[in-house]
Amino acid sequence: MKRSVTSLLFAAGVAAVIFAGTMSISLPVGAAEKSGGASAAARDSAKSDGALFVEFVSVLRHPRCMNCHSHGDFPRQGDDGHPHTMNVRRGPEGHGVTAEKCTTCHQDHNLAGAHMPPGAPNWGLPPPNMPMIWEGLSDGQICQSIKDPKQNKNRNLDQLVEHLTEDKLVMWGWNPGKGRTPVPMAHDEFSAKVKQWQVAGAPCPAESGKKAETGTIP
Amino acid sequence: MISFSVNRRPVKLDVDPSTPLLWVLRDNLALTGTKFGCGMAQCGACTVHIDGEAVRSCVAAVSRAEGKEVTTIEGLSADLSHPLQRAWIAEDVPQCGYCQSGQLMSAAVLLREKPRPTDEDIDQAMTGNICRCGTYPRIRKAIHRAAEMMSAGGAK
Repeated sequence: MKRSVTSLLFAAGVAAVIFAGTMSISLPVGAAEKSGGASAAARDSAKSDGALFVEFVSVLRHPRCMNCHSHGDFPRQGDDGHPHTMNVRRGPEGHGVTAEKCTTCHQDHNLAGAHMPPGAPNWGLPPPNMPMIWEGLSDGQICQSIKDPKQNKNRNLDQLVEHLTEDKLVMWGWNPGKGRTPVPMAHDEFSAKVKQWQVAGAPCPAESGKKAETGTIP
Repeated sequence: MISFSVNRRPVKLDVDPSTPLLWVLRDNLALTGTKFGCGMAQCGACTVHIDGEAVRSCVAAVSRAEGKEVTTIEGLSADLSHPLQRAWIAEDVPQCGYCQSGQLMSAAVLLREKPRPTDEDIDQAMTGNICRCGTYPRIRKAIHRAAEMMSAGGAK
């Protein structure tokens, strides 16, 4: 009997140690898994909320892009977004009017030297029927607008990504000519982020994002 | 070699393709009616047409004209009979005259696209052409006068 009780106590002790050991090992692991799972879920949630878009929206908000995506029927100039000198207007196709068309002064390439007209193929504004104005929009609204075929010249997502990453007029933002600030991200990095966003299904942020800014609207 | 047409006359030139069209017109073709003003597309004195559209020839490389029709002030008409030229004379527009060929070339594009322009249309189209003599009121008046001539069948 004494031996049996001793055995029982020993068995109970072993079980307790095993249990305690199991607990001591399993608890932290379980907690870590739970914690890691929550982070992954948070990341997934953030991605589905459009964080991937926010990662490159600083390029779209830069004056090199915003100066032609702002309110008013005219282009803007400079980092302060002042209206284009010479009272240049958008015109019926986004390429100016009468004797003040974009190609009157702008070539398909930058001209050497400060204050010389910049240039790229198809220099111009979005057309008036799809003006693609980002000024005053949240990140989410910009995201929705560039994806909307009724606003983006009927581009599907592949065509939109191609436009953002390969169009020579957009690419000009990385090489804007002497005296102009380029967009604030390396082109390779921007392209990678845009394609990452595309692969994730091009999710848009919630509407409460930062508002786009430009110079004073005259 | 670069081939294009100037005032309906074909030309073929052995020039550096990056040469500004203005210098080719003035130095190679002796068409000196087109003036050099600022050299950076800011004043409009060098305005000519390439395929009917206003272009600042001081910043446009001659290669841009390849295969195209260039029109200068000398080609606006053969005998000063273009309504704009007649109106310019009638209104006595020029003072020093240096900017006037550019003014006329811009005004010609305006009237082609808007045969009866308003004051606002004129101001809009001509803002890129600077006149240091300040002949703007006479320019505007002459454009209206030319528009009237054209609507009365005076355009050639």
